[in-house]
Amino acid sequence: MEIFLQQVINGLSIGAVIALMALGVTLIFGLTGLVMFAHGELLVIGGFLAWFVTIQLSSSFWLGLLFAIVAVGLIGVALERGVFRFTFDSPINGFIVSLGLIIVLQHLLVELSPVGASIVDLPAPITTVFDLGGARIPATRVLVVGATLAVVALMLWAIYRSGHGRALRASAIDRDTAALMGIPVRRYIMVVFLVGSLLAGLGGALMIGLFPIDPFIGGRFVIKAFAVALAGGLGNPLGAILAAFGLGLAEAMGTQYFQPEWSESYAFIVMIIILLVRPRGLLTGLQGPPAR
Amino acid sequence: MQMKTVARNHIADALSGPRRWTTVERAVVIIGVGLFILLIPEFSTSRHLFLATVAGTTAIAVYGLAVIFGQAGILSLAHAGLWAIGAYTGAIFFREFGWSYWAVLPLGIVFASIAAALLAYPALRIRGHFFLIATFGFGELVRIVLENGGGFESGRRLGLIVQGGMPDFFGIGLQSASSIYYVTVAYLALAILAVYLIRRSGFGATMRAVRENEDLSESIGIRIARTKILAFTMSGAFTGAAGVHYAFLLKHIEPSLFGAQDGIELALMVLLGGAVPLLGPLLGAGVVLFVPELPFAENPNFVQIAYGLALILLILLLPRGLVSGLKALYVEARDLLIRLFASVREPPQAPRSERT
Repeated sequence: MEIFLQQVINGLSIGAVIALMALGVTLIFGLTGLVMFAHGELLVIGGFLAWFVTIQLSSSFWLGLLFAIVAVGLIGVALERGVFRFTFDSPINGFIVSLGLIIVLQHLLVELSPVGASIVDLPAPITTVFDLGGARIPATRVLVVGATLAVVALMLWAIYRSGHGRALRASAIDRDTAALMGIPVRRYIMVVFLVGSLLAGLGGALMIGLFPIDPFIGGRFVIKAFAVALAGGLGNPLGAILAAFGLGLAEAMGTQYFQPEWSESYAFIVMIIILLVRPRGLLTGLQGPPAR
Repeated sequence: MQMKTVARNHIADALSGPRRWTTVERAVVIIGVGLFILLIPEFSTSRHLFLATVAGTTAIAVYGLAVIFGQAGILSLAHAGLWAIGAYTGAIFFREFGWSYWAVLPLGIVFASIAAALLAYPALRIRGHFFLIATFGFGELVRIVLENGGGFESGRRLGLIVQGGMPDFFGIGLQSASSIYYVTVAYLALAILAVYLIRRSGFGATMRAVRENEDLSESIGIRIARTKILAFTMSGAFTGAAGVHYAFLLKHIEPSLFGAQDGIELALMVLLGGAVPLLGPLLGAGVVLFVPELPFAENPNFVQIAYGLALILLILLLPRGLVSGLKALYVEARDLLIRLFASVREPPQAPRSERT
């Protein structure tokens, strides 16, 4: 039972990182039809920046977290302005560009990181460990889950309840008509890139509070983010978040009770099955611009 | 025909209609590239010769990918996985069951084709980038399966050693690096010929119809799903053959050779060279594998960054690839020269047949 509880919190905290990613990719897809595979690199850059500020500049983790969020957000906007806005006519080109960006960002990170391609790690930002009926629950993990839930709730409120959210959803359904109605769609696209990148920065900083990372870990997370985004219906934020926590739990349980070496593959298997059986996702989402 | 008429027709060809190669220019390029490829062992170091052999083998897989991307418009990131299936089929059956190279080659082709067909099944339902995501997932799944190994203990992360499997090819002993190279070139020539024939066949036309407009081709009775699955299976056959040869060539294969990054790299080769020109994939594979050998490329990180940037810039500026770009540049320069020196004001309208 203790082990089970521990795995639940482990699963939820991994699920939190995936959820922050998935929210970003699903929003960007919903609005632009772009499959942004370089999002995983943004996550990793967030983690590295948090590590750099905390350890190399021997500052506090909280400052590192803030720095990571802001810096990755700016990187995201820069990518949209500098690269992706030229690809919105042909999302498949945008996807290929994002594959190129993966390679560029990964090796740029290795080049700029003071430790090269090695793993970086930092001590748990909060050392408290709760004792819940024998289960040892690290406060860091609770914080990660709590912070994620708060951010996600805020995002969902903004998407489904605010005027801007309504404009965003209208743009996602039909970009041209929304633009005719006076919605500044281009600006919303930029904002979505900003928000998606902010979330990736937050996810990265939280992630390095959980476990050590290396520059090449991003691909693993982005594919999970897309698996859950597909499961929830691409373009559907709520579905993506639910699926993210589900995948996190499944991985944690699989690691504990089945063969741990296969837990990495769950995301892919889930994804392929969903594409086969229900290509529009379990909760039918917005389709986004028509796939070409 | 008089020389003057020939020259005039040549100029007319160059100036009128869609800008294209004349037969002479095409022949010069083909003979030039062919001679260069055949003479590589004469002037290259053993390291570069081996690299050229690897590039040739890789190019076979790239042709497999190019034929579906160029003709059917399907891009796949799963081809590193299919390549791995070919390589591992070859290695495992050679090591565990003592099959010969000639026996495992068709087996690798069959296995990779079957895997491709199974993977292509989602193409029935999903289009465009959804399919791409699925192929990416498939590629990673193959790598995870390989890393976890089956019953083949040594097949795990350490990889498989395939020693001394290269057979005699029709009596040519494959002791020397250059004879292995020539055999690879022969394979490559076969692959290019196959691509050429597929493009000219009715199936090639069907694939192009599906690429241009799925709904329209469906309305005239083309079975979209079957065409896509068949195209993908065919592409898997190329890749499987390349995989088997690759395993015997490298003598040691491991899962990390066939990861998602390698799938992206294969796509990069296709996009770099261009999927439609016949020499595109070859140029793409050559450039990607030989750029790290350039003197300024001492830092492998910079090489990778350069690949990534190249991919991005190509997509944004030259989406049809280097070969098409070079060709356009050449045609532009040629026409300019002709205008300057031949001072032909109004080209005579020589009757010429349109060929596609």
